Amino acid sequence: MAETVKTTRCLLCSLACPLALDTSSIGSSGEVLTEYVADDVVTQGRLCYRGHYLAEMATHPLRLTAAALGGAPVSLAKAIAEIAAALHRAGVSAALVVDGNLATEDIVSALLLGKRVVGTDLVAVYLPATDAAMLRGLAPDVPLLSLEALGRCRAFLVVGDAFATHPVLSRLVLEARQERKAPLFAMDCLPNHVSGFAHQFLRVRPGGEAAALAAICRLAGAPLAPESAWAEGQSASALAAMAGLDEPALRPVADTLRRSAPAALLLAPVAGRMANVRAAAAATSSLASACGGQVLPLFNYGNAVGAARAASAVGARTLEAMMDAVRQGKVSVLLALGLDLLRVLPEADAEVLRARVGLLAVGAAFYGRSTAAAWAVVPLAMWFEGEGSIFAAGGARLAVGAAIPPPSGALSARALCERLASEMGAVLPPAPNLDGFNVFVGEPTVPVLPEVGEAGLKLVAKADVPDFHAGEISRALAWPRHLEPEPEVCLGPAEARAQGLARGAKVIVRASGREAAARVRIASDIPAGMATISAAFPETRSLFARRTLAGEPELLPVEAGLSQEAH
Amino acid sequence: MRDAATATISKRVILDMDRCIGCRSCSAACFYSHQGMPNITYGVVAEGTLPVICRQCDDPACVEGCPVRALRREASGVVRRSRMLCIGCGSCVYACPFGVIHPDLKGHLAAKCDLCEERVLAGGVPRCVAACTSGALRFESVESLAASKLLLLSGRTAGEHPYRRR
Repeated sequence: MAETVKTTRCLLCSLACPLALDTSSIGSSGEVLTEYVADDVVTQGRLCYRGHYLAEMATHPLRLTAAALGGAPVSLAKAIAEIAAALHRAGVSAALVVDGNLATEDIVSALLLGKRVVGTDLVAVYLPATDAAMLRGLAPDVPLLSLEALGRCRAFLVVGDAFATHPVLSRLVLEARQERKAPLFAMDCLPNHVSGFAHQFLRVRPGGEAAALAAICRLAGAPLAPESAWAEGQSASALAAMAGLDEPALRPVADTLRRSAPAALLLAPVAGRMANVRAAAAATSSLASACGGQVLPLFNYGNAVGAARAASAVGARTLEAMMDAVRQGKVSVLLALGLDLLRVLPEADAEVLRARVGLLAVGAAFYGRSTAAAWAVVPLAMWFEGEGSIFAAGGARLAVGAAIPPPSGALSARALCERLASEMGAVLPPAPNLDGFNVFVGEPTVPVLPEVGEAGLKLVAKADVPDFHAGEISRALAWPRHLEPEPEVCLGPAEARAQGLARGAKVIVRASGREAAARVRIASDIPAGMATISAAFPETRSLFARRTLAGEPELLPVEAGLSQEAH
Repeated sequence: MRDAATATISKRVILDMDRCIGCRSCSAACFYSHQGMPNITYGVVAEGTLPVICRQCDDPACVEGCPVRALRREASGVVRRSRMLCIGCGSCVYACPFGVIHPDLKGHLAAKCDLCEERVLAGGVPRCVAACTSGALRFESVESLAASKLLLLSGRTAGEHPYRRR
């Protein structure tokens, strides 16, 4: 491999695919080209669209390249000295939030800076809501499936739209299905990118995944884990009915999974109530024990497991607990590292944070809402611009190489924390050992099954590929701009007729007091009274309720209205 | 690397319809390695969105249709467009019977797949094939597919039941 081609990993989902970045033309045309790591046993060099535009993030127009204080550019040293002084003064009233998608060493350094050097208890790691919900739902002793072992599994149960959110694993699953005739079951509340390939599609009612999984568990003759205590005493047929299914439809799934050890249980992040995501994760854990299967949780964040382990080992608080302290006026200085905190918080909480926190300091790779409002700003390197390691979804530690030099002045979060500690006359303590334990909380959760009313049009969020989930940053990249992604609202033929809408019509979708423009798509499998829309766009996400603290809202079905756009 | 002037590329990009999940990673791979040229178009088949990739025809209509001879079939078998000669008139877009040439011009140029000729002649595979997440895109000679269990439909599309997707 040429000197200019260096390998790293993509952390834009938890498969953490290896890739190489060729920087031979950086400087002349500013282009960074993605190359493939063909000898990787899992991916064989295959890479989804996110891995390709990752390289462009290095030269993104919104990259931060200079430090600022009070909106005026200053030297990096000056900014670091001021932030260190503010944190030192604040002591226990300081707070620190770090993004969970940095290298593990960066996350640990940030948490140790807050806990051991500044001396505050208010340190937290941010994870997307679905990742946090899955981590809380999975049983602590759940057998995790490595990607290396995925292709050897003899049966597959995929909960949610795993091919949309994690396209690279589709090869391993489809090869097993096509070449070894391994049974493939898909479970979701709507047809998705997996269901078309499945031998059997288990179409549950919205939020019914946990009940269906518990029913399969019962049919497999296994007890439910304590995290699924809500299902105690309920028969398989009652649980199947709760999921909107008939028990006989689930029996072959239970039989096949029990017979086909090792079976792979793939758990994708499903939109909707986080309680349901948590309950589905818990029921998946039970099912894994019942059928001798292994679980591959598919997180949004490449280092979700590392972030959870770091948070557990250092004793971090939840973001919710930190926001409680902010509301009570107990936080005078807040340092946010690696994330746009004001963007991921619900609007009301962002307002509280702006009003109650005296000084907001931000270390970030991109310009955003938080950097615009911050008193101090420090540019951060991205994970592929520094050395570090992550934990894959299966629990293995993987190295993340520095493939590109960071933009001038940008530091890794670890280097920034070391310099902040040094300014405070301290040295960061050594990182705890994070290998070899699961930190999943395993919280009991009762699933919530929303009632679909008779009247009105229910708007339901769906996964989409390409999924521009990162919002403003990813949509500003060249390929997404070329695609000109446009939201599509999908209706069944009967509903489209009733609304007087044809395929391709431009409509305004109104829900929750907000509106978004979309184009009509007719899909035969959507019943009357329902419409689906991708939640991959900021404007369509805003149509749904936004109740959690963690970036991705709980995407509850909402009453919606459609009107044709005036020409 | 083989001599580009004399080497023939007998393999073509073939889509296994039983594998394509419609993720568009092939499009991203091609786009970023061809200066933002959208060389891969998409067609909606039933509920799926499938890539449509240049077939590098033996008797290419786009070459016939080009008024300035910007398109020509190389000795390797690749139908190439000359950046210097292309005037962006879009005749090739209308001439192509398979709709593989994107109608949007990029910098007054029509986008045209070059089969990643340099990579292929160096022993690699086209970028769309290298990136394909599900293994749906294969780089094979049409003859070699006869050994597989797949049926071939119109030369470039394969599957267990190509008429009845999955």
